[in-house]
Amino acid sequence: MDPQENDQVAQILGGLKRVNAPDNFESRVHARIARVEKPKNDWAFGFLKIGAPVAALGALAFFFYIANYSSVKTTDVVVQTNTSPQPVRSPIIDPVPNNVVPPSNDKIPQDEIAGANRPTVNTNTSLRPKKEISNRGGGSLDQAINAAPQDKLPPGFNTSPTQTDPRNRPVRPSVPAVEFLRYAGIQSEARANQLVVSSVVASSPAERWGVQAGDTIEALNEIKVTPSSSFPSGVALKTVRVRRNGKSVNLKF
Amino acid sequence: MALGKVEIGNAEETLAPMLDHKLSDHELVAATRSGDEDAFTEIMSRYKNPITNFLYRFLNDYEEAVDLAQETFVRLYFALDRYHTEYAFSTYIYRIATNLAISEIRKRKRRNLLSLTGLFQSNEGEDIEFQPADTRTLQDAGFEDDELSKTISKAIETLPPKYRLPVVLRDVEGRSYEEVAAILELGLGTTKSRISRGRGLLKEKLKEHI
Repeated sequence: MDPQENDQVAQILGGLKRVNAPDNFESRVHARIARVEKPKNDWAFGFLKIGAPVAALGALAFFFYIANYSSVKTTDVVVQTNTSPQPVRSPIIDPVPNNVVPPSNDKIPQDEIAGANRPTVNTNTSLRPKKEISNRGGGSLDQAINAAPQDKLPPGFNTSPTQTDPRNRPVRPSVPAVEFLRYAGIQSEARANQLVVSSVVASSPAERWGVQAGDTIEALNEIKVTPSSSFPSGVALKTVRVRRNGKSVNLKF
Repeated sequence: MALGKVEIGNAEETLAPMLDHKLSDHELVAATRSGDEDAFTEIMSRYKNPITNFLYRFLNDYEEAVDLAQETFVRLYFALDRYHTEYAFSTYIYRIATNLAISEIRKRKRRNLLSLTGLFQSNEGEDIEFQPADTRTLQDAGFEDDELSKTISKAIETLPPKYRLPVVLRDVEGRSYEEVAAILELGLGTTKSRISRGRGLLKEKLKEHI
């Protein structure tokens, strides 16, 4: 930039009229200073103005915490997940090991099957130790068969609920129909989207119901059954409908 | 007014009344520190007009300039304990005023982000900047900012703060280059460079008047 023009700009700026402060400038400054100094003397009151509401809010929050989160819920259901090798008793369906043939002379009284108070069944303890029969409604397989406590459930079958829904309620796993039948003493195989009885375990509930090899399982508990069907574990088996010689036959406990 | 008698030979002479000793800025600061409120009032009377003028020319807003000038002295009052006499008192007080002016510029920028500009559009769809009525009042009715001064003030306002500050301090307030550098905490070369650059920008805007 041309030095002369530089000086000209400086001269123009220097020629600007000057403004002055108002007449009450000093008094207003003193007033502002006094306002700044005053809160220093009122620190105690100022603390109370802030501290008291904060303390009240803190006490309220603590009260809500104590009331809502520290109480013990008595409705909690502890779901025991049991994957240990120890036998798990199914409340409804007891396992019938394939390699254990129940004694043929066992006769289970009808009242047991019917669901009345069931005495302990006298069985061969070397094979099947005593077992308390649950007092459930008729049709429960564990009322007809005394399973040894050490009998293991097959893999994948565990009627003890190990899963829970979001509300912490036990959710029972589903049991395939084939497995469901097997524990009733029915060996079945899939043919043309149907379950056909291949064999019936001797002295099993299925035998007592009258299921025969060659029967086609049409329904369990009035529910149509296919090879892909499944039932919630713990469901009591009450009726079986089979197709025999072209006719439907209802078999009950 | 004090009178002194000195004996010269056998005659007594009455000396002219000694002039009142005008306290320096540092002496006034020392007196203020010791609790002399009158000393602080004297400081204000010395610097209230220059500080107000400096802030007015920098912000182009008289009410804001007066408010910040008062704030400058309030802060000065509570910061006198930290003042060191190694540099001029005027440097210290101008530095306080400068910092307040820069803070005000930043506040204005934030306010502009939330301005109502977008709500006003001409029929052609162009944005019209919303300008509220200017209700500022100057300290006395006799002061009239002529059109040239208004033009110059607006031109100064368009300068970026880093050029505006040194130009106003040097050319409007008449501070030396060294003092401007001390106030802005810049090197002397940088200060001169920015002043020259600021003048160049103003020249472009004030072509018709040069």
